[in-house]
Amino acid sequence: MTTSARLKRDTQQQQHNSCASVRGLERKGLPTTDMSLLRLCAPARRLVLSKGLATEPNFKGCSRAASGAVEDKEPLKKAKTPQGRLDGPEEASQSALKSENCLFLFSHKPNPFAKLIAKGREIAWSPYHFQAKQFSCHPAEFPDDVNPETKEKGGPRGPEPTRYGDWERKGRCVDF
Amino acid sequence: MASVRVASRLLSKRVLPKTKAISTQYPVVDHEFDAVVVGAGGAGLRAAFGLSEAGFNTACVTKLFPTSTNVLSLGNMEEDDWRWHFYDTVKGSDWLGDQDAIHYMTEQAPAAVVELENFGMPFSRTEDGKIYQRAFGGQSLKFGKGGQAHRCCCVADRTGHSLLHTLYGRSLRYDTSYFVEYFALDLLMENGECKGVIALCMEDGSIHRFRAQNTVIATGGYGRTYFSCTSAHTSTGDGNAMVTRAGLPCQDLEFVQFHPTGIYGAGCLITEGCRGEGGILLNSEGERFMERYAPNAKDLASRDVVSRSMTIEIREGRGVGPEKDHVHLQLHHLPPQQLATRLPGISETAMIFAGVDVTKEPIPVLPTVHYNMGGIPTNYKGQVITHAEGKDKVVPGLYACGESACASVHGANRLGANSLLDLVVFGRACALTIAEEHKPGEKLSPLAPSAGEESVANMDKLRFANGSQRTSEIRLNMQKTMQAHAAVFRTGAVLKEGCVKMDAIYQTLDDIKTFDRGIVWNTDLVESLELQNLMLNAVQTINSAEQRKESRGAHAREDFKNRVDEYDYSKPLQGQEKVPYEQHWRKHTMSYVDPKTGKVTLEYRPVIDNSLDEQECAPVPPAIRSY
Repeated sequence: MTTSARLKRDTQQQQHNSCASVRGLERKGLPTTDMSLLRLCAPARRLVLSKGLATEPNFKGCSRAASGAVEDKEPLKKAKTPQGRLDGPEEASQSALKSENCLFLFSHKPNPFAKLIAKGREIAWSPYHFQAKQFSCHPAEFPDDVNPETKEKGGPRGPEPTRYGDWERKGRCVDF
Repeated sequence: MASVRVASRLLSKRVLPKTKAISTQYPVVDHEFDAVVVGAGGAGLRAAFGLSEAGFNTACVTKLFPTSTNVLSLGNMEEDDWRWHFYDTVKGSDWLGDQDAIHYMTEQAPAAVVELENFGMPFSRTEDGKIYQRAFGGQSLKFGKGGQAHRCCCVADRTGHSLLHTLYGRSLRYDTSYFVEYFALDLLMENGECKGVIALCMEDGSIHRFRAQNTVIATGGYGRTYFSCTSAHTSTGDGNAMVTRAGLPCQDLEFVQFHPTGIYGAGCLITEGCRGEGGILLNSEGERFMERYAPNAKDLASRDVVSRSMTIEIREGRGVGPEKDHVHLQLHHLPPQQLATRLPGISETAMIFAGVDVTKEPIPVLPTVHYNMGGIPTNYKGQVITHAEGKDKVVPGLYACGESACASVHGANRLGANSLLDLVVFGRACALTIAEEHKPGEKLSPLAPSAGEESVANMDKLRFANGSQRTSEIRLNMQKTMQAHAAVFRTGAVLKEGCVKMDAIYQTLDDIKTFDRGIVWNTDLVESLELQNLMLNAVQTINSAEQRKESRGAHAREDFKNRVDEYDYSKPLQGQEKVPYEQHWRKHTMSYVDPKTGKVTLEYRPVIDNSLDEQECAPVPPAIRSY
């Protein structure tokens, strides 16, 4: 991040926690009233803050192996976000993505999993409650990310988006 | 060297307010930069990054965080035979596009794609490792005679998203200063020259004046003037309004692209595939009304026919819903298994955005805005122009790119797959032009100490407004009026009625009522400022549409169904007399508004028919547009 962007970010963060920062400023004996003065004081405060951080390492960071590759000492923790009304349980959706139940055929051949999908649909489509367990609307990834028909690598998953003349994804038209 | 630059920037940037000339209530902070970019979408980021790379001290002022801006598109750029792409684009624009700008865009397209790819955008590949290109509608080979062209490049399903992230990452590397969540209020103009931007910091209510030799506007379109649009709530035409308030014209605002089936309320578009697979449109009587309008094609008629039919049904009172303002798209008569295989994901989309189960209920849809062809007039280099005494005149210090600009490459109708290309090429063009004509560290011309005080006064007035109509009420009135009168179905009486209504709604802005009197994160104030901007765009759109008495591209009128050009191109030109300029319509509309009264003045500007180099790329003479 550039110096100026960091400066800006720090200034913003300070103003967000205005009470805390005012108290902090008072502790350090710096004036608190004028906003523009606050900005001038920002560089000084940032130095103080960053020094504080340096003395109390509370994150482990990465280490370098002998081969030069970077390894994580601690695995990154995933943030816990609140569950939405239409969210399925996460582990279930992950397994559903990998399971065969949701293999979508990208040609117009009859789907051998029709019965499974229909059953899943009955459970899944009760109003306002999507169970990702049995039925997932995310097209499965192609093996190796290569589309078997068109040999496109890294392309859109599922059926060809331009098959109807516009760009279709999940029933929506993405128009550009 | 870099550290000296950084230090001097830190010193020069934060100048304490020595003068109280602007406002006693708001702290004013003055900044000095070489260039300011307003807006951090695709075009804004590309311009900001290009300028920083060229060594200019650049600020990017944006009301949203850069990667959250709504670039819905997928990147579709062309790699070879750019002259055929040139032809496709000129034809798509219905010969209202400026051919020099189109030449520039299509010729630069391959370079722009390769550049993006070098920045790290992971385009999809063929087996050989080349960028994979697919076919897309409207792209042909050999000037329309060689069949379908395969030109579309993409990054899996998220090209626009990927573009933003790539550009944002690159720009940080070059020390661009980002001023995030700063709402740009107005341009600082002096003697017809643009000297910077004045903005409101939403976080603490302070006013910031960004003085710069070069200002680039990249604020996007104004979809939110209509009731149903795909754009984000923040798509409010701020750049167009700033330019209008500065006394400069906006170009071709009447050309607005509609998609027939957008979900009512949410605004997401339902793919044409739904109708292609057998979905039907129904009115309140349960009638498949497309049979009346297009007996053969029925629901598979072309987009504009479907949109117009839907609008006519709604106008004649056969709409559905409590306000009878939309129609139904029915899919539940199709076997659910077929839906699941042919249109995977449609059930999820319908449930999330419309709250319906497609196997049981129809989806509520209505024609939806998704792109604005018009905007701030520029030349092919990205410099903003006005038109006086029959000639284009450059406005010094002001540039525009992206959807907010009108170069004009899209003319009367944007060809599918050109939007992202437009962003990237013209964002780059602005940066290149500025680098050509100016040097980093140039001395800024002096600015009056009270510059921008009208903007602050207006903001102050809005903050303490105590009329009788809320912002949301006025906005809804405007949106419904525009949707009813200036949407797909346009005819003289309807447009005139709309103009009168919009004029009345414009006057109600004086009676606006806001509630939040605070200064920190006052979203009520920002929404009211945005409403003012939307209004300016709306009145220009509807008045320009009312005046243009022909049908061209996206502007289709029932009472004037044909194009009115200087010759009748449906017949051989031999023996035809050229229609005088005042009487034909193959010209750009330039609209001005007096912000106090809301009165719109219209002038016209000829289309540029010559390309940049006749030898390299022959211009395409006008012809009847048929596909």
